Amino acid sequence: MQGGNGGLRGPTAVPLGGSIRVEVGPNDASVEISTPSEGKAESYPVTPGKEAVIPVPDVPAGTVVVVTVGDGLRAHAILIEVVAPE
Amino acid sequence: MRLDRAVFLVAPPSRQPTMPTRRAVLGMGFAFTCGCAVGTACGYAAGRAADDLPADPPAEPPPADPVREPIVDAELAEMRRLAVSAPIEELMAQSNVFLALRNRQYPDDEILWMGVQRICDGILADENLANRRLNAMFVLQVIESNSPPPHLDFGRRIEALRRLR
Repeated sequence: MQGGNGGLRGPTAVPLGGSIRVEVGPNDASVEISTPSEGKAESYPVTPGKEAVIPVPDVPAGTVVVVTVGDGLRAHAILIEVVAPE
Repeated sequence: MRLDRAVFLVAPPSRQPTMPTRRAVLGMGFAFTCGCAVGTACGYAAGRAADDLPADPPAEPPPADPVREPIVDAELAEMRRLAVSAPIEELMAQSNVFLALRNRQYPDDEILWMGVQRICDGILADENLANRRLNAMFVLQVIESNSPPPHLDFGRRIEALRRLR
């Protein structure tokens, strides 16, 4: 796990086809995920348990995706590597 | 009636008339008209002389300071400050957010690429950086999947970052 300074914690690597489970702080209703090559982000809701489950995007293994919570420069972000399934 | 002695009648003293008002007005009007004519002629001549002088070369524009350029978007202004003039520690503390925002919101802003360049240098310089390999992979993918300005040299940095993977 990584993060925690600002209410966003998640894994450092996830397998292709899986999902990313992140823990979110108390004041955020959604998280966003994006890849380095795409200019747009996809948003996913945060559950009442302050977790969000994000399907791993369809990207080549080795891609690093970024999950953010919050707006603008006040956001928090973690990087997650998508790896090939074992 | 017979007068035995001479009688002198005293007339009131004659008053010297002052300059007639009409003549005074005419004189002042003439002087004003002459003054206007002379003033106009002098002003016209001076203006023509100034026009005939070679024009000053246009002033050199001040060197561009990207951080101080007037821009409306406060977030972009702060991003540019981080990219160009913020201490490297401050930029590195927000590097993930900076890179993600740059990709999503400001992919065409050349100044922000200077921040990407500094982040590369920050990753390469700090061997104890948390998730250093992951950061190196991410910034490499940002560079390789976008089009950095050609005048910014990423070649040496890309090679060094690849060795961290």
